[in-house]
Amino acid sequence: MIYKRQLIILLLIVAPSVFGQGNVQVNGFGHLEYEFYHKPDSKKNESSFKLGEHDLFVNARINKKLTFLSEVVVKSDSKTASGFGISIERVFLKYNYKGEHNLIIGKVHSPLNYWNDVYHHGRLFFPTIDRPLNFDYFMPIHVLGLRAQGQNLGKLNFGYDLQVGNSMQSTDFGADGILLSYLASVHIKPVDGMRLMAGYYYDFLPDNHHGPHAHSGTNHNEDYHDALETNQINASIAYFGDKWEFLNESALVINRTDTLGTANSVSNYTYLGYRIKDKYIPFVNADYLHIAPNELHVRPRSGLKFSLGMRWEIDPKCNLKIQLEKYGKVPDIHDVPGIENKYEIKLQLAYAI
Amino acid sequence: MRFSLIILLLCTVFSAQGQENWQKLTVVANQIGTESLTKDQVSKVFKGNLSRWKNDESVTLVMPSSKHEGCEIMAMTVFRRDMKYVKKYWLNLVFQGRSNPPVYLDSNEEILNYVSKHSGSIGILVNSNNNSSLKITIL
Repeated sequence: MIYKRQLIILLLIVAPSVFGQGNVQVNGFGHLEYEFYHKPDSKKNESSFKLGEHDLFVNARINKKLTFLSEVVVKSDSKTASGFGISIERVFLKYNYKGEHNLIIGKVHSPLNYWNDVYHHGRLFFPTIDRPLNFDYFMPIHVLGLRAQGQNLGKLNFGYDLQVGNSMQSTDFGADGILLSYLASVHIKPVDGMRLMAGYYYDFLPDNHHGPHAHSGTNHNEDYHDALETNQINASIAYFGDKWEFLNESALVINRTDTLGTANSVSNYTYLGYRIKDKYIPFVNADYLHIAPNELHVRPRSGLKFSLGMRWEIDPKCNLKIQLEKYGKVPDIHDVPGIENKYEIKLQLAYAI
Repeated sequence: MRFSLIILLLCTVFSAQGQENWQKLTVVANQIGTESLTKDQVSKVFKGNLSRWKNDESVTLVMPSSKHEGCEIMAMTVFRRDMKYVKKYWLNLVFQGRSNPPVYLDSNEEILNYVSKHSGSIGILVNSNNNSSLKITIL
C-alpha cells in the first residue's frame, strides 16, 4: 500500500515533464508553528512546536489548451508509524475549450467560498493562522468530479463554477451506491483586489458517514447513522488592496433529517488588516459559529473566537504570523454547549520555494 | 484656490510620471490578432485576466524576471506595485489553478527571442529601442 502511494506521487511529479514540453512550475509550500494555550476552566496549559503541512505543487501546461495541476501534501497522521501521511489534495486536468471557459476533471477544492477557492493548503497566502471555524464542521473541502468554469467575463470580470462530483460520504476510490454532490458558485471582480462571491452546495448522505472530503473530524456526530440532506449557502466579500485588507465569509447550512427535521446553522468569519511600510500587516479577526440544537451531521455547538495579530511579509515567499486568540461560547446562546474557553498565543512561519 | 492649484500640480506630476514609465516599455507580441492595445488592456492581460486572444491563440505571458534591470519599472507601471508583489501575485494565481504561469526572462533579448518563436505570446521590454515587427502600439 505504501509503495503504491509512493508510485502515485512519483507519477504525479514526473507526469508533466513526460506529457509535454510546455511550461512546468514546481513549488514547495510548508509551515512551522508554535502554540501556547491556557484553558481557564480546566486550568490546563500546553506549549508545543509543530511541524505543519508540507506541500508539493506542480503546474504544467501540456499544450495550448490543456493544463495539469497537482498538490500533494505530507501532513500529520496519527495512524502511521512516523506520524505523517501523504495525501493527494488536488489533481486535475483543465481543458480551455473556448475563450475564458474551461472544463476541469479531477480532485479540486470546492469553490464554495473565497477561502477554499484561493488559499488551498498554502499557509503563505492565509491572512490569519487558522482557517475559519466552519472548516472544522460543515465545509466540503474537496470534491472529485467534473467542473465547468468561466472567469473574467465582461466588464465586471464575472466568473462561474458549476460542479458535479462525489458526495462528502464517498472516498476518492468510489462510493456505496449513487452518491453525487452538486455545487454552483458565481463571483465578480469589479475592481483590482476585490472579489464578491456566492456559492451553493447540495449533498445527500444516506448514512451520515464522512469521507476524506470534509474535515469535521472529532466534531462529527458518530452516533447518527441515518440519512441527511445538506444545503449550504455561502457568501464572500474579499478585498486585498494596497493598504486595506478585508475578508468576510458567511455560511448558512440547512440540514434536513427525518429524525429532527430542519436544522439551520450559521457561521461568519471576518478579517480586517492594514498594511504598514509595505510588509507589516496588523490585523483583527472575529469568527462566529452557531450550530442548531437539532443538527445531526456534527455535534451542536456555539463558538466565538477573537484574534489580534500581525503578519510580517519577510519575503514574497516567506512570512511570519503571530496571533493572540480567545475562544469561548457565544453569550446569550444557551440552547447548545459552547466551545471550551481558551486563550492562545500562536506563531506560524510559512514559506514557499 | 491655492490648495486646488497644489492638487492640480500634484496630479499633473503623477500623471506625467505614469506616462514616462509607459514610454520606457515596449510591448512585443506574436500573432495575437491585433497590432495595438490600450494601457488598461496590457495591465489586464499581464494580471492574468485573459486566456485566449480574439484570434483564438492561447495567451503566453513573458515578463522581465527579478534579474532583469528593468523589472521594477515594469512592475510599477503595469501593476502599480513593486516586483516582490508581482512575484507573490502570480505565485498565488497559479496556485489557485486559475491561470498559467508567466515565463520570466532576464534580458530584453531573451524576451524578444522567446516571443518571436511562440505564437500567442506577449512580452514586455524595458528601456529598449527595439523596432521589431513584433512591436505593439500602446494607445
